[in-house]
Amino acid sequence: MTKKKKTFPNQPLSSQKANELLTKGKYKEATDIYKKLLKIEQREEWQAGLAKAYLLRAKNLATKGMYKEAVVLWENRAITCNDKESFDQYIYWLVEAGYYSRAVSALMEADTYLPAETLQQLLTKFGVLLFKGNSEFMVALPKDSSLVKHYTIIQQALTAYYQNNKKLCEEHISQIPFRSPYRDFCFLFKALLSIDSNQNLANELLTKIPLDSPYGNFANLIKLAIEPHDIKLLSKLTNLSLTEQQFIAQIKGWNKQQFKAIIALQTAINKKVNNSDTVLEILINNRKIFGEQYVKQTCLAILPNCPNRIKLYEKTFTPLSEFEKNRILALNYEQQNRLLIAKKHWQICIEILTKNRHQNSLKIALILRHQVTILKQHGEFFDKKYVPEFLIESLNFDPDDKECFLDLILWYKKNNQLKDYYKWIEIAVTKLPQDNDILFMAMEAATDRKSFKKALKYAITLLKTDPINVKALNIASSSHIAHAHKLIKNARYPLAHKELQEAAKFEKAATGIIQINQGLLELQEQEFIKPIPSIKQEVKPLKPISSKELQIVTKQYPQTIKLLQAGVKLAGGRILGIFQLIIITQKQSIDFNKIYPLVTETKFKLFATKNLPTKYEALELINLINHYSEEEVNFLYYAVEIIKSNIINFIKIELSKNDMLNLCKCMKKIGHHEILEKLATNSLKRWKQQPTFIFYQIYGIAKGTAWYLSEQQLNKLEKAADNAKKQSDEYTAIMIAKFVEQMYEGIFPKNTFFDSLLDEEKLEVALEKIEANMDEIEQKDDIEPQEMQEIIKQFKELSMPITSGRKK
Amino acid sequence: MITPFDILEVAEKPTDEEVKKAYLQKICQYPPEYNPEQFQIIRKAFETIKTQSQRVKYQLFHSEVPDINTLVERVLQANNQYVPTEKVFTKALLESFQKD
Repeated sequence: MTKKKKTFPNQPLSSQKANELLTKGKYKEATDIYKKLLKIEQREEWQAGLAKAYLLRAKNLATKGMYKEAVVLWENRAITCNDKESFDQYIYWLVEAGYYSRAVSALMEADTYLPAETLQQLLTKFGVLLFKGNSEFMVALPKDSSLVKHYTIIQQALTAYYQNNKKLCEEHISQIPFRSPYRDFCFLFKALLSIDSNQNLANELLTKIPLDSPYGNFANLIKLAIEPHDIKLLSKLTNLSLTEQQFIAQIKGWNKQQFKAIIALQTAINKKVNNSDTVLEILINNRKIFGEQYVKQTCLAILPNCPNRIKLYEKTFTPLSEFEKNRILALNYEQQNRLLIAKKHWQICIEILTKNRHQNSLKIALILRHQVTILKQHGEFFDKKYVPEFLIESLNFDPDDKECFLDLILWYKKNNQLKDYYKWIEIAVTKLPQDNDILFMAMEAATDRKSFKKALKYAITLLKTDPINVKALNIASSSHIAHAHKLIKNARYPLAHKELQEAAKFEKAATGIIQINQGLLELQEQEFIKPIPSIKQEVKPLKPISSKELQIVTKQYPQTIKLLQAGVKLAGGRILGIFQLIIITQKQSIDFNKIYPLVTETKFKLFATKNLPTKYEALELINLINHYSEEEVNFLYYAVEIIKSNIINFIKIELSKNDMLNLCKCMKKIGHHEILEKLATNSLKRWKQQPTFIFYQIYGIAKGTAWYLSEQQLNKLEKAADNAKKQSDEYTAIMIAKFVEQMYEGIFPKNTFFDSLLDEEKLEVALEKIEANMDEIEQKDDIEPQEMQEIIKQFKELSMPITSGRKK
Repeated sequence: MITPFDILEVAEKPTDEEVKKAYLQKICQYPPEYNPEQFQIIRKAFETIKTQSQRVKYQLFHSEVPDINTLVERVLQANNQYVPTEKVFTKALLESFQKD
């Protein structure tokens, strides 16, 4: 078959058209027009156009692999234009077309026409041709050309490299000059040699290879061998060809098994699987790579997540003991929140361990305590039923564990089981008599029980190791004072003096309390005052003593009065000092009204409201009220009533909103509604519409009883509660709801707005409980009847419907 | 999975003294001011197994599925650096020329 010659329609003869065709890539047509135009007239412009068309067409053909055609076109062009543009490409095409001798001749004159850099790039390309095994081209090259000479050296270096003779390899490479056609190859080869000794240098060498170098791809591959061994490297490996993977694997020294493990991990990652089963299988199947001991140890840690693989583990390694199997199952059930089944398995573990109790006592104790930790997290039912039992049991196996004692003691305290709380404190302090935390607890417990002697004993022991323990110092001091009060009551004054002197030793700085007590003791000793058996906390109008009267008394008991006055001053003067004096007199059943005139000097100015109180006095008073409130002092209302006018004056000073709220909270706590209302009303001027102050104001007006609330006040409270909720102030919202709830208890229909607030709180508690018990309900068969009854009881208490849900 | 025992490089059943000694050696090796991250790892390992009771606790209740990344790192650890064979080297080089 004869090939049909491609014909072109007759093109109009215009240089503009020729240009258009050039831009469209129609070089052949453009060439024809220029040729025809040049036949008409030899214009320079048309000659240049023809040269351009030839060159573009040649390049275009070269990209299609038609090097011979490209060569012809370039030569035609050279004749037409008499220049050697793109001479480097022409030489390259000659080689690719197989015209080696012509290529070599052209190469010989190349330095005349090509810039040094272009020539270097061309030679680099020829170097690649040699690597590709183009022997004909190599034969055509003169033996003394750098391309041949350096290639031979490179081959020698490579032979040394394959034989792992790096020294010889380096020697060869060092013979190659910087301007060699193999410069880029030398960089990557040197990088390869320094990978194991200096990775930074290797990286540095690789970055010297230009991005457009024919060795760029190989340099990138070598870079992978330097990258950190992480998941990113694994994903990059996945994208490589098998040869490239093998190349990296050989550099890394990965063996076949390692390669197999890498592929298994790649598969797991690609499938996005990271569950315990897969990981365990990968580990077991590749245990030679990961190390037998590592795999065994890791699989043991994985098994609680997939106990169904116990058999595989046993088949691979050794059979697991009954203890181990039960331990794994118990941990697994804990993960599923099936606590009662977990408990059963732990019980079996304990039984096995008990056979060798002496050796395993710590393990048994730890298992019991571990269960306590888990059970505590799963609701009140488990907490109440098992926590103390397990903790006590654990102490039989590990009797000196302080944390366990603390856990147990705090548990009894939290659950208000005071008898056991005190009992276990006694046991703990006997067992660990020098432990500061236990001593601290024992000290607090003794103070609560008013066993001052015991509290003092513990405080003194504690102070031996922790001499600046503030609580211990306070307790030691107040224990001596309390004991002194007892002695004063029995008229054993000399001993009481001694006790007060002892108390003074524990005061870090003089607080005035000792001086006040000493003053009162002296007055009782001198029979100026006597304790009243049933003291009436009656607030009488207090007036400063007249100077005449004071003179008489001062003459009679000069030292004592000075002592008292000094005490009140040290204790904080007009507000704080007097407040302490009231408390101390009441503690000793002494009539404050009789003492007050003795300490009233103009400088105290208790009732001089012109002198505003300070912020310090306000904050300190809040602390004192809270402190005595914790001590369960029951005459705080009386004490506050006496200094009422000063407290009300706190509204005139710049207290922060928080401080003012704390002060109101104190007044509410001690039931002083009048002060509370005044403080709240004034605070509302500063902090308008603040829900908490609105509540305190109405609470004060209603004297803490919701029965006195008017419709208007109720509405105001409702709005305040709503605002509090909006401001995320749940505390105030619930406080209001609880207060209003009093009003509806049993008599009136329920107020739905406030109920919603309370129900939310109840619901939260209920849900927590239900959640904790849910798993147990699902596992009814595993629950003892007694436990089941307990759960049902709880549900009834919460008014939760109970239906029969036994699985068929 | 790297255990606290591995991190501190102590035997399976060390004494409290041995754990403490290993810990001190490690923090000398990785001072917190220069290696804060490594120090945190060492500190955590020490806190986990510093007493006999904690060590038994770890052995009894520790359960962990190692992160697949940890396994990757472990498996990709290079053995002794090797030299590729002539065949693989040449093949990889020629393949790289053919790319792009």
